[in-house]
Amino acid sequence: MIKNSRHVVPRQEGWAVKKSGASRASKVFDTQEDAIKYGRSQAKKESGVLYVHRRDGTILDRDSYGHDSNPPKDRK
Amino acid sequence: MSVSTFETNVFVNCPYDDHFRPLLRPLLFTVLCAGLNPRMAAERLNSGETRFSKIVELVRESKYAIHDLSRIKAERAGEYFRLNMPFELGLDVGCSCFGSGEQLSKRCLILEKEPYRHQIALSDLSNSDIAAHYDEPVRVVTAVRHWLVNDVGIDLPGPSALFDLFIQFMADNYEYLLEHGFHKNDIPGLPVPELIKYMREWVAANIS
Repeated sequence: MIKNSRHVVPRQEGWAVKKSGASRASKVFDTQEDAIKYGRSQAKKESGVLYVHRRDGTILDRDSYGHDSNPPKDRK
Repeated sequence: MSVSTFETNVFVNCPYDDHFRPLLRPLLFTVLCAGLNPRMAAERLNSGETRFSKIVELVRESKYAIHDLSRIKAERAGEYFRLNMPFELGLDVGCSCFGSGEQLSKRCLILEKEPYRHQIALSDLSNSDIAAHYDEPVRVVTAVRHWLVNDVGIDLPGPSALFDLFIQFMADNYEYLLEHGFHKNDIPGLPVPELIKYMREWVAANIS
């Protein structure tokens, strides 16, 4: 588990930003866009990783703001 | 490593196609969090045995079953509706009615997309407990969790906490797979037996 990670996750009432290991979301937003904006600012502050999840939990996007053990690879 | 026994086996009777995968993942994860062992016809790839004999074996070896009937309705004109799931539900119910010994203790959860829809196509089930998931992954977790806690008697966290654990698994597994030769585009199509293996390992390491 990457400790300094933030997750944008679906909630019944919108989208939440949750820190890895925390029992509760740090903030809930009406739109996924606003949740991503907030999650990104937190991940940058902590030099961590931001995961944006789809409604089914799969990863829509992953951005690392520190040392990246899995940098993006292009497939030709 | 978990031991597969009648008492802990859960026969998962659902579609295996990509459209159902968003619901299948959280379903399997919830079952594993309960310390149970999901069994599916897709668990053994490239097997020479017939699908029917595999299904019969799964029904016989599983005390619990989760039957998803949400895909029995054809979505488009001319499309055939799916009969495998109700057929296998019938086998499971038949086994618990006409079997003997441990078979008499079999229990099942039936999932549907919307409440009461099954009464039109399968009115024999009109007095059965059927949970609706509305095609929402988080509602699948809720339905399976409530059944496991209230009907089976297993302690589990609340649905939101379980879904958050599932989210954490998905992120951790994403990292693991990237480190082990997967491209991000390979990950959604991870074969179900492999997915179950990673879920089982994650649950053992992260949930006491």
